[in-house]
Amino acid sequence: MRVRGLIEVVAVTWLVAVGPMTGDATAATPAPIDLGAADSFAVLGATTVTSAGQSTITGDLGVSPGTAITGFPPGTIAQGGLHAGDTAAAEAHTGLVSAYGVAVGRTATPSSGDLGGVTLTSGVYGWGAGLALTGTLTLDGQGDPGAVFILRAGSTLDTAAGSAVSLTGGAQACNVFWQVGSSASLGASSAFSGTILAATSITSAGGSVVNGRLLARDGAVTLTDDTVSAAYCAAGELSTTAPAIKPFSATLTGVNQTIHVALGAWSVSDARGSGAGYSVTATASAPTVDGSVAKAGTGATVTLMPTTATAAAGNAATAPVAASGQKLGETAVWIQNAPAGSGQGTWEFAADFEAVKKLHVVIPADAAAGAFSSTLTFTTAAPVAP
Amino acid sequence: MAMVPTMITARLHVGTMVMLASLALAATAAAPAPAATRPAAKAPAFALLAAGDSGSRVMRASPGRTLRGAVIVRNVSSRRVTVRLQPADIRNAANGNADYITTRLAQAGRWLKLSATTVRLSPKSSRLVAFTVRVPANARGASHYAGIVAVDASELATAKAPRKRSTKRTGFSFSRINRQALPITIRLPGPLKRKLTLRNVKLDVQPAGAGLMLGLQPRGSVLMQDAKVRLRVSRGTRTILKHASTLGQLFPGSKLDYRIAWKGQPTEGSYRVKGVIRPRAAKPVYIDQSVKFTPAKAKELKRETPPVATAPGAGTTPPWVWIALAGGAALLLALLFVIWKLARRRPVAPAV
Repeated sequence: MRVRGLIEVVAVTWLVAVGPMTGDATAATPAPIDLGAADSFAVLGATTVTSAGQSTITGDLGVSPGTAITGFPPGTIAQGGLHAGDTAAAEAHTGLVSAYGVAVGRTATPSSGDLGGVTLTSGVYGWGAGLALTGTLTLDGQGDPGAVFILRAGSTLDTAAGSAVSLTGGAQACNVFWQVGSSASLGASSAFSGTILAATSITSAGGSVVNGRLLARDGAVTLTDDTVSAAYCAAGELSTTAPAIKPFSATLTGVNQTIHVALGAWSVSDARGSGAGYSVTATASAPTVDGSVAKAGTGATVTLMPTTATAAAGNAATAPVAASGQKLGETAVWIQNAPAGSGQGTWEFAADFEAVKKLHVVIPADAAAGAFSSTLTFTTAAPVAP
Repeated sequence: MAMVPTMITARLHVGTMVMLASLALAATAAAPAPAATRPAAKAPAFALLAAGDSGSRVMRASPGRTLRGAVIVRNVSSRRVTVRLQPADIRNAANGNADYITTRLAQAGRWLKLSATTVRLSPKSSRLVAFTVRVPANARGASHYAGIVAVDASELATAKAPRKRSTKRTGFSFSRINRQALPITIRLPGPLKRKLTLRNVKLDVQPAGAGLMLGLQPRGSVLMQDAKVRLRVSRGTRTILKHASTLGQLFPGSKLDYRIAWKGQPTEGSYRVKGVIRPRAAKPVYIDQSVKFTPAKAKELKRETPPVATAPGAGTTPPWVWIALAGGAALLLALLFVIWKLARRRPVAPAV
């Protein structure tokens, strides 16, 4: 019993002490449809995938729950693999089922008529019955590479021979989704853009070029001398977070004192894909006490010490450069600089810990007691073109 | 006989409970303390993009003309966001690169007019905002620099909110504003000239320590890029400091003070600074000057770098946690002592 008691003490003490530390370790365009695991698939069928002639697929090709894929070779697959009823295909099928459901759930602007000669801007459009394209449909992103187009067909999607989907104004094929209530058929030599999410089957008459995906939820995909390339978005954006600074209090001592304050975690993400580089600058407004600059005393300063960027997992780009310790004022100082060709991807700046705090605040001897405040402004921008 | 272990167990349980309660209290209080001082990075709320490309924007014009363009404001978060857009002048940041000024516009920022200055965005949505650039008829032939700055309106409101007053202790609070800026270059016909001059070299003291301050004045009609700075500070034959860095961008018309951190503390006396600044496509600037670290500067350094005080609310463990931990440790010792004593007791002979 004594031993049991001791074990109890040690075990529970460990749990109590360690437990909490391991715990705590965030004109409108619709959101794109998340394809889940189907994202890497250029072609995905449920029962069979059949190709006649020489089809060229860029991306994964698969079938699930069926297992039959024919025509590869002579058809070829680049930057992807052949998944005949394997786990990857099953996961992709699950992703497709989910994505189809999401697309069906999107509220659409009721539309009618043939799409030939029509120009659409970003939005969700719905056709109660079949959807036909004879000629060229233009999808205009109006300058926004993130513009999303969702076209919903109540039953079939039929494109005539030689029809085309043209993308302008920054629109990208990765953001074009065709939800088809039954089956889709592409006329001969169609130039098609976007991802087809068909409830049943997809059939190509032959010689079509598809910049997107052909995904059939319940049926077959039938190709003839087609070229299908899984479309990925080319460019994201430059975005950043700013570090949080927790309020604190201190007692005035009558002499100058420096207080080291912890900065929260922050990050910069450059998903533009341009490698143009960027810089992050910081300013601090003149410190005030109860709104008065005079009350903050003579020589109140805020200094930011350098912070090293850590690459997010898998990011092999060259890190942005940290500036040396900088006194912050009304004129900006750069604190991180990524010259052209560097800083791509996501970079994280860890939160300060007990021993190292990077915001150094000098409180002058003649500061008045009260609410000391300052506003730190962080600005992220691409380099200026000469 | 059978009572002894029961009593031990009972004592053990009482001791265990008291000790565990103390430790639990202490551990629970201690554990979140670092977390509280390390708030997670707030997810980005919005992004600002140039319509049609993913980088900065160059617009060619002639004096008197009006140009048209557009930017995209995108809500990258899952909440509603209101974004404020402002035109900005660009001047030199203190250590090179662009500083976007949105108040008292005096340069090309004045030429910019936005079709909307407040944009309300639902989650994951984006909006195209048109702008015009009206180039004055008397604008000189050069590259002119302006910018569009976007900021989350809620952050602006927080920063402007009055702080609570305190009478005894001083409460410190820092508001933060996260801005995105998009530079716009307006190129007017004319010769593109680049010139950099050195105003002065000084030894400077700041709370971050001593540093060498290079006073620079970019001139000409176009910005300078990638100015490589190479210099050496020596005293007699001894090299005190070697430095190599690159100044990102230098904008003509506004001066800057480029600071090079001193490693350690300088001692009083004279130092020789020798080096060169080589901006791309401009004449190099050679430096060969003496700087003095005077007794007054040494005194200033001492004053500027006062002793470090702790910020109680900013990461230190509260005193009561230490008291609770000490109490827990004392209880543990007491418990071990009791166990030890009981273990040494001789068994009582059963009564016949």
